[in-house]
Amino acid sequence: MSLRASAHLAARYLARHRVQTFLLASTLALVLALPVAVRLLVRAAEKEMRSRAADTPLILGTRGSAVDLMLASLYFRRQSVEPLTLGQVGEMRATGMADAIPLLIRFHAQSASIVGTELEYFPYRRLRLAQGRMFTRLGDCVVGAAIARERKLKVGDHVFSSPESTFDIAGVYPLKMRVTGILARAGTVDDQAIFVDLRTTWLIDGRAHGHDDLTPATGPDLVLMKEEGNVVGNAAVKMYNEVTDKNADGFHFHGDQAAFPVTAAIVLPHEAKGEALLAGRYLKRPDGVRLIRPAQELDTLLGTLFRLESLAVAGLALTGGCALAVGAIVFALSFRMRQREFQTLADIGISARSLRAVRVFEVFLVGAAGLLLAGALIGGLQWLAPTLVRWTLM
Amino acid sequence: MPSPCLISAHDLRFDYGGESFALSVDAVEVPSGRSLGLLGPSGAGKTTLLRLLTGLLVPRAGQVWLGETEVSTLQAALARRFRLEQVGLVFQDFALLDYLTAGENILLPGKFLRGAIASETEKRGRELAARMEIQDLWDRPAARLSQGERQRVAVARALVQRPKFVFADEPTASLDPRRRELVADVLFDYSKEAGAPLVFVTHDTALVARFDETLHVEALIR
Repeated sequence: MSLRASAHLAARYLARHRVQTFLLASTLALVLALPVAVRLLVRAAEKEMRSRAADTPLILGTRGSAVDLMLASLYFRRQSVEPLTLGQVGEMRATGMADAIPLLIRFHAQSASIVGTELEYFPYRRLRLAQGRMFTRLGDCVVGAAIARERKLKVGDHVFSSPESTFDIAGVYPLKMRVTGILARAGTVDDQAIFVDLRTTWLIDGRAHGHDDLTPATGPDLVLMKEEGNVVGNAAVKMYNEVTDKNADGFHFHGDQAAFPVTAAIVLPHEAKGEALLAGRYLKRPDGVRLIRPAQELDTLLGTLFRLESLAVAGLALTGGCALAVGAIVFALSFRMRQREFQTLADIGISARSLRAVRVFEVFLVGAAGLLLAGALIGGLQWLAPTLVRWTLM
Repeated sequence: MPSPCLISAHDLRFDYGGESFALSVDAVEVPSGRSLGLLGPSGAGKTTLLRLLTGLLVPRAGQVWLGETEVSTLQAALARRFRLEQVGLVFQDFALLDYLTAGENILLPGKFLRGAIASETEKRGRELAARMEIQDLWDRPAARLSQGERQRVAVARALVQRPKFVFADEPTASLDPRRRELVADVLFDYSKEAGAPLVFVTHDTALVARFDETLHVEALIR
């Protein structure tokens, strides 16, 4: 018996039928890789979420889903979280037991979330600038490393906020924001966000605006009417969609900023005792404002995720078993259809053991190709998993 | 004891289990370097007799000797080994593997015999291919060969291992007259040079004169 000849014949058959071979090997690769991929992604998600949650002791928010609040605060997911007010964040600061960093996550620039916050956010997350400087003026923004790379942004470029609804002419208008800084890569979701001052998000929200000066000296033709000290402009008044050095003074807020919305605030207690006291104070407030511990919420979320993972892996294992059975049938049918070919080889004088070896080598080679593909898939996924998880969580 | 290079069969009886066909051969002998033409119309039993003589079919009675080996009683595994080492077979349907090239088909028995192709075997394969005017097709997949080309590849494959016995089942059926002569020359010349007895199935009357002996198979059918 010549194993070499059998292996050669098997390899030549598979090479000649490369499409069928590739399909079989791919099926095998998927069957093997999918359960591993699910485990890999869940572990990557767990690692990513735990590390971010561990750096965030408390989050201040309002009633509603604690998981949504956590995902919005940690991963800038634009969830429908009921906002609290800046005044309520101020109340937290006034306790003297903790610092609070407000976050407003509602708007976006294409796929990237626009995160309205304060400068304290950056040292807290250990984010540093790779280029430029922090935002100093209304309409400035600092861009995460991944977004800057994807969109080829540099300091001095501009980013437009996306309208909330294309067909709502009374809705949020795009704001042209000036890029003043690019963040260094952090390997977190911060790489995929655009950061602005909290007041800039209120400007996008329409709580502030800038327009032509309506004083008689500069714009007498722009006045529609005057009543009780208020000047009402007509349709000719030009509204600004960009803050520039020239028009910056023309921007103004309407209303009390303490009543303006924020999505949440990251609360950083000065000491453990203060943390415990704050947790008690915010346990059942009549205004619905509360404190959540991301690590605890994460445990609940991951518990559900692990149960789902087990179910998914069991389902995939079952599907895999069926796919392997189908693969075995495919081989069996293929060998049966080639019975004449094997008979010919037998007639020439090739031994039954050599012919069995041809079949075994064919199965082995397809299996090996499947394993290689599965290895490549898993290797690629292992490399991509952190990024995929961050994109999914955002 | 039969001579080392002699095909001999005695008192052969064979049928397929029905009443319609039964073959009865009292004696067939093909000495070294001689040729036997099995003649007769289609369905007469030429291929059946050829397969009996090669050991591919087992007779109900009688003996078939190839040289000093009684192939009619040989165990299947040994019979295969014997065929691979000592018998050159040209099948009626050529029996090529479509996923191999013409060259790979020609060298296939050697590959299974020794695990690798010796340069001498490859040289002989290429010489045979050149003699049968298929040298340019060496690297072409068998699936893309014409019937005549396939037939010549099958003949080259049968002779490449320098077999002691050659059996050819209508090896010239798909060939034009010039190439029919060419292929017949190759087979007859090899038989003479190597001293290998040749059994040749045909119903081509143009070849009859070249055989040392002929056997009309329809006369053997009951």
